[in-house]
Amino acid sequence: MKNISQQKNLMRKKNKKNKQYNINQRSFHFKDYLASNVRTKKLSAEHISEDRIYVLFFFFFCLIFIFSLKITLISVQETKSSLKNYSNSKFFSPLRRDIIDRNGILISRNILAYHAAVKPSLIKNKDRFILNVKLIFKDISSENLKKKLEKDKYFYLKKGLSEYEKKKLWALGEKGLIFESFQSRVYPQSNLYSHIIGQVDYENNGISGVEKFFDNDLRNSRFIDEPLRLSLDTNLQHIIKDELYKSLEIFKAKGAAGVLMNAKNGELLSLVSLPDYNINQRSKISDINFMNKITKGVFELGSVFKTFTIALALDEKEIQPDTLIKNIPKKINCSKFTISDIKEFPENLTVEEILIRSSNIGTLLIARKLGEDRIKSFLSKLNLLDTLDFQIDEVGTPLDFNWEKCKLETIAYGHGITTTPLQAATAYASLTNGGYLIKPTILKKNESVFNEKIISNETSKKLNKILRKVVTDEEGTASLADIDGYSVAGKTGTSKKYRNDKNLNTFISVFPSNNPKFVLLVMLDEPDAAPKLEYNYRGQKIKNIYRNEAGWNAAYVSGKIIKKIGPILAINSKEFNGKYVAKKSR
Amino acid sequence: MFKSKLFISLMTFIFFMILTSIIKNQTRLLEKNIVKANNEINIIKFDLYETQLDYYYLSSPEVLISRINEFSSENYVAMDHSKIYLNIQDFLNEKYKSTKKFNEKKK
Repeated sequence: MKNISQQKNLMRKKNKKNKQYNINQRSFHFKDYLASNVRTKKLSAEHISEDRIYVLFFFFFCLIFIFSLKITLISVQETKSSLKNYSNSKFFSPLRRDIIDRNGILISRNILAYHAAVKPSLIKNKDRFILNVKLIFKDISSENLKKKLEKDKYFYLKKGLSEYEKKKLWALGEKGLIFESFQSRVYPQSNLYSHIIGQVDYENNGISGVEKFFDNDLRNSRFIDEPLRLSLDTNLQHIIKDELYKSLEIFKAKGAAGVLMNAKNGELLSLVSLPDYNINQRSKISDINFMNKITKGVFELGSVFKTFTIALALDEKEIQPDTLIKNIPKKINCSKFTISDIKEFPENLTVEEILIRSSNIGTLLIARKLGEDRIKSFLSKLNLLDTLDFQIDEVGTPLDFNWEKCKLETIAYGHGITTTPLQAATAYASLTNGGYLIKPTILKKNESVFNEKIISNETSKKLNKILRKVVTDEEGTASLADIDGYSVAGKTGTSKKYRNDKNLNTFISVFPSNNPKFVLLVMLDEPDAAPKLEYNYRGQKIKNIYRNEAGWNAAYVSGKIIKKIGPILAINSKEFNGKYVAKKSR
Repeated sequence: MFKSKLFISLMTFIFFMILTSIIKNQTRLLEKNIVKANNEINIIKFDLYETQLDYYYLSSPEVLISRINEFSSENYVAMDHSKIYLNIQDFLNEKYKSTKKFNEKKK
């Protein structure tokens, strides 16, 4: 009985859950069953219809989403490429980066060029072809061409065609002529940077100069759109080159060279070596006169070395600028050599007078006070004795020598010791910039980093004052470099070449002398006196000068250069201000 | 009733079908335009690349000077340090001073 009542209770509970259950219903009717069945079917049909619509919505939503995504991706990709790859296109993608100067002027760039090749089997009338080619390329031998055509093998008619040559060949309409494209390196400044930039081969490998030293950087495809920025300035380079070219004519010199350096950070603003050559043309140059005289040439620079001796003596407090050196002999015998001055000087000279007048014997006496070890160590610290660490491979190594008898004495005034002009200019920059040792660089720097002190700031200032007097003093050797407004200081150097007893004249100038910012070295190789030249010497026009020392040519050329580059440098370094200019023009 | 639901589903399908094809077509047109524009950009880029080279050659100091010598009879000289003024007021002050001196001398 109990079980029956439990079952009834369970049934009641179940029925309560059923919404359509009527508690008062006492009997079951078939009619009711049919009605509820129809309602259920109706509901399930509605659900199916809804599901279909959902599926359709989802399907089309996916499609629309995919297309939208596609459009977005395309637009994003395009924005990136059009902003960055200005030179990269499906037409042309350079293999090497551009090289630009400090102002963004283009120095070197890859372009599409062509080689002319010949497929002899496709040439019908070979005689006519030879004749036509001969009319275009006069230097091609007809016999050689005939032989090559008879061999019936593919060969190059001419590599690296110019646009004109290509058009002429194209106009021949020969089927057998094939134009093979390749990337050629072009230098729009042609001769201007010939000694620095160098060249590349037909496979775009750097073979000399900057092109070789930075070969891996220049070929790096990750940075292909970022040009390599050098520290050189095209305008300054042109002005210096132009003046040096004029000097070749005026002084009938065999060669000339100039380097302009930022004395604070070692950036090279200009590097010129003459004679130069057009780097767009491929030709073998065997004449040694075409070498880079500034970095590769190793010369005995003469009296410019006196500055190093005096600087060391001042820094070691052995002397002061006004220290009087008494009883300076006219001649000194050293081993088998007799050392003398180029002209007669007073018996007693102060240290600054020794440098101003460029006395060999006076400097020699100071060097003896210092001794061999100190001078040797100082020259070594100035990087004058070893190969310079520089960013092109064409760097000369100073000649080895033994510190034997008389070496100290001759080295004191710059004889019997060789170095490259770039090393000498760098040493001058280090001594005059406050005594900070600098390293020359061809890449543009953003800030100066001073590592080592070579002399004290005080010594540097004293030295600058003496060097200024070399230019301004009545007895000074470089009066022709005294250009109003730039406070030029410097030292001349005249040396004789052992081979032909001809001169090698150098003038290293620093300016402005109160806080040197620039070092300019000018060197003339085998110049002659220029009697026809009218000098403006201390405000007087003079002619018929038969003197051939550095003060009469290298200093003169430096003055001409500084006069032209001075305003550009001053404006670039914001040197001008109202008061200063007004003062100068009074 | 059943037909109306089917009709709605079909209509929805057709509507989305048309919408999708319109979008697809627009995408294709856009892509076509992009490719076309891209080609044009590439041509212009290449032209610019080569024209820049011409520009740097023609504006190089050596070429400019040879052109000046060829087409002009004027001689250009380097300007003196004392004649450069970056400020008009400095220039006027300087001119005023020199005129004053000149007038004093005249008197």
